[in-house]
Amino acid sequence: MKQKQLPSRSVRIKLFSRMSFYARSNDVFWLLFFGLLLLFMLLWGAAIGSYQLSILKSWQIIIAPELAPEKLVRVVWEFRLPRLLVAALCGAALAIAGVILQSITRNALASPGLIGVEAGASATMLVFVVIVPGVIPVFLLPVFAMIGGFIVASCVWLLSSLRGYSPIRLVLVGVGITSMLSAFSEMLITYGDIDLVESALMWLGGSLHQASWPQVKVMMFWLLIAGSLAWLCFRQLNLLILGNKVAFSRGVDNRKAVPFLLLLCVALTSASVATAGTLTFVGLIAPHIARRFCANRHGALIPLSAVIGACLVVLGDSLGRSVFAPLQLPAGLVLVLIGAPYFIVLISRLRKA
Amino acid sequence: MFKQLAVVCVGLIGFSLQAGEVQTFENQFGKVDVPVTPECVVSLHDFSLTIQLFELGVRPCGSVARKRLWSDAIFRGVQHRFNTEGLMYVGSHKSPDEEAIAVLEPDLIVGLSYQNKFKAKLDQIAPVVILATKDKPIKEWARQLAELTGKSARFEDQQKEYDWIIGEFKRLVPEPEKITVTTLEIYEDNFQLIGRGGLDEVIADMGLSRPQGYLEAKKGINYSLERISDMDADIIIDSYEPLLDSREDTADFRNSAQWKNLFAVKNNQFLYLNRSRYGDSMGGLIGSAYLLLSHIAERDFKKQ
Repeated sequence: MKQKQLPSRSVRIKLFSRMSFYARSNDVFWLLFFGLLLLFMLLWGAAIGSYQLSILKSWQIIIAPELAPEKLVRVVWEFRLPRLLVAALCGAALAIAGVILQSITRNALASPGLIGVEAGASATMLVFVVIVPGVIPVFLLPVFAMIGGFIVASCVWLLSSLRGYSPIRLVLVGVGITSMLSAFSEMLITYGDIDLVESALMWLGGSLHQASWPQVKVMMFWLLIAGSLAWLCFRQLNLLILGNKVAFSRGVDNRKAVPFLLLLCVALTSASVATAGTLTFVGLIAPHIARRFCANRHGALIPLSAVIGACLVVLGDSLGRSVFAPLQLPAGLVLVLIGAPYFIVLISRLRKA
Repeated sequence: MFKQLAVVCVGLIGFSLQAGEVQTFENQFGKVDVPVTPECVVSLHDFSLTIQLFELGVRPCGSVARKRLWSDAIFRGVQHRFNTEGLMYVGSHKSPDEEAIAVLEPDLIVGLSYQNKFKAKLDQIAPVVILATKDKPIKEWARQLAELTGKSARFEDQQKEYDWIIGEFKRLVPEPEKITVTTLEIYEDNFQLIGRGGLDEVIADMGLSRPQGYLEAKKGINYSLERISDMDADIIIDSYEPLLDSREDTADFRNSAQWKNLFAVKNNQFLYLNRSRYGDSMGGLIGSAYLLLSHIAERDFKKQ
């Protein structure tokens, strides 16, 4: 039997007794590096805020809360940790969704917002907050936002695949529907009751202010399920990015693979938007940053993008709540300030290419 | 000496009982156990709750405020009337900073109805009381706030003064329902029907009327300036915000023929007030009531 040729400098990673896979040592190194960076940022985020702590102190409070003063335990465990974890989980989810979308559309500028999920979730939220307030309980608003995102994404998919799937058609239909829903949202914001609108605007800006432990659990559920399934499809994504014909020749039928991957993308994006509002740019930037380290090897690209996306949102939220404390800037706003310059650089490089 | 010592001990015990005593406050947002005489109160709205606390003689230890990125926080409606030294800024009313509040170790936090969503988190710091300022008149929630802080006597004084002004107005103006008043806020390209400082409540208590266009319109909606003539009345009251240069921004419209042809404007019955002068408090009610008493009951004016 012909022995499989492995890339040079590979490491064997054993998951279970009979399950193992090979990964490039480079990829493993960067995953560990960014993983440690994320851990450091979480500790740093737990230390900064209106109540200043040292990183060592925050580590002690996290590891041994029974030994710390109750006041500090409350600040770290009830106010900061849920927020940081939700930020990390939402960032990871959006980054994975961005990887999927950029690969199936073969478009470097694709982001999770393209398929209308963000716009759908935002419009749904505004309808229930501004037009028919009080109809559904506040704690169910994220669920309805998620359903709205799913419905819009389904419409985008159906409209773009009527005459067979085409990446460019998906992008164009997504842009059109997103623009339409954005205009609708703007209309509600402009002409709605100002008290109700202001309440929704904080959420729309991508604010993690209301993050709590139940939301951490919900996001963890969605990320584990959809994120794991997305990673298991890394081979299909490696082939889809080479084109439909090449993928088909290798046994990947885009008529089955793309809808499934799109569903995972929508699930991850909807969950994130329903939890933390719109966090633009994460899904666009994180995959591109990750590609600088692992190119288009989706086996590494997906987890690396997830970790980088988590780092970005944790950074955005931590800066947003500490730079002008106690005034809090939405994480989404800070991310735009960080992401916009990178976006401009990206466009200029694409033009040169 | 023994007797004196005994008296001191009894007094100390009484004080500690008083300090530790708890009362149950109940409204549509639920029941909350709060201290009888809270020592550190945090207010989640500067323009109503913080002002009212100061008027009751309660100096809150923390309050939300308005803030631009690179400027100091402004406790709207408070700073020009009260000494705010020692009053800690705890964020904006839309997203108060829980950590900044926790630092103060308050024993009572008060908020408005739309801030009920913060209650679950803030409850871990101190008892949170949500007052229905939107659904209830100022007099009612101010009374509740006075009961919460043990300052009912001061509130009764304010209520008494307000009732006198209303009574005086009705004595001087026997048929107030024949006088129409419009309260609005004009912006650069639209206007809204808003009465600041409790003006709407005062107008209702005084028995004054509204023009038909006002009654048919809705509050909180941006209306086109073309509809301004629908809101014409015997008296029009607008307000400007000094922090936002709104007086300068709307000067062009106030120089327009459409505006100058309004009955109230032609007859010098247009009042233009500083929006932050009176907050939504008992002091605001009293101030606004004196304002209308002077401008309507204590001068000659024309009716449509």
